[in-house]
Amino acid sequence: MLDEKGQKERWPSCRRMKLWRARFLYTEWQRNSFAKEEGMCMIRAPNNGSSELVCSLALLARFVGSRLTPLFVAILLVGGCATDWQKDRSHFKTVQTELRVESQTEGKVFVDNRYVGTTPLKVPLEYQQQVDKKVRNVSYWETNPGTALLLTVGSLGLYLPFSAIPVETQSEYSAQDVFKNNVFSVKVEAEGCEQWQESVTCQGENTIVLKPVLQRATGQ
Amino acid sequence: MRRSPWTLVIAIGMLAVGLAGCGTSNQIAKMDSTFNCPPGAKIEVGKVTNETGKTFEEIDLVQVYTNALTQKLLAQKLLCEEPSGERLVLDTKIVEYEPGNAFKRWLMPGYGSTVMAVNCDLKLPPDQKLVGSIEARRTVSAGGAYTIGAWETIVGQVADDVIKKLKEEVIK
Repeated sequence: MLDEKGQKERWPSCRRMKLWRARFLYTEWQRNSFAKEEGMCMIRAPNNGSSELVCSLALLARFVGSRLTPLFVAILLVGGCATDWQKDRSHFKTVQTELRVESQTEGKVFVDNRYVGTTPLKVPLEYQQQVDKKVRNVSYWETNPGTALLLTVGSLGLYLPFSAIPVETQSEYSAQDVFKNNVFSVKVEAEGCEQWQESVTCQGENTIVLKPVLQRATGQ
Repeated sequence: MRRSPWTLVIAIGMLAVGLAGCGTSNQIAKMDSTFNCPPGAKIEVGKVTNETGKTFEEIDLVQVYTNALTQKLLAQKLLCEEPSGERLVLDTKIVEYEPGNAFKRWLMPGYGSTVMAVNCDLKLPPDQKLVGSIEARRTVSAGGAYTIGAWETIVGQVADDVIKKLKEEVIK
């Protein structure tokens, strides 16, 4: 089958099934894949393994009979019913950056005035990164599609209209480029040399390498 | 008496729903690729904090989770009771907790879900180097009377999930 551009339509694993019902469901799914917002409720195509879901439903439709096909299409339509993401609260997670201090002259290293060892050394710097949480309400089809399907079949379709109500809270966490307690004062002291000091700001790097050049103290 | 094949399908389906549980659980472990767990290492229960921004009258979340984790580690012979020897410190932040409601769950699956999520940091003493983190989230989102008390049992189940992931990814 060719589409408007004359290119062959992409069919996932459904192609092998060669069933007109599968094709019908797949077309329905494509038609609904462009989200249309209706107030707070967004009707979308299922986003978790949707092609597999379409194929399995098509397979079910094949065995169940054509009378139930509209039921399965309805399942597809209610499957993605969800409210918009809302920003919830934030928390801070612990992150670490490895600090390497390498100097030609052996010296004592202090981080925030705390002695941590002599050069060359590796020391973990621990600080906090903000993690934002956002939540939305989704239908049971989104979180437990298998159970929702069984409940629908088990209740002979009675559950289906209620299952579209987005009642279950779904949350998502994302790390932000916001850090706290991430500025460290690094000091290197060596005998007969001037003190070397630098402020280090960590922003999620794996490693920070410092190569202090220790100057001979005047009069030495 | 002739039974419809549908009766069997529905019965099996409902049994599967009943037996398979009525929620979700997922765990993610991110480990430092250069880290090799010392043989025979045990787990020390570190700091447990409530980062949900809420306080719960019905449950002292931090204490209940600390006790559950300690008991389950002890049962698995993974608990480090003395702060010495090869050990890893497990700091936990409880980032999500909803007590839920069994009646609401019975009324409508997904409504009144009990939810708990934790983020754990695994640190290697003595310098407390962060060697990995584990995230675990569990929900009880459907069921009726038999899910009464899920607000308390979920704490132990999340502790179990964390230990399971620890055994899979860290202490192999």
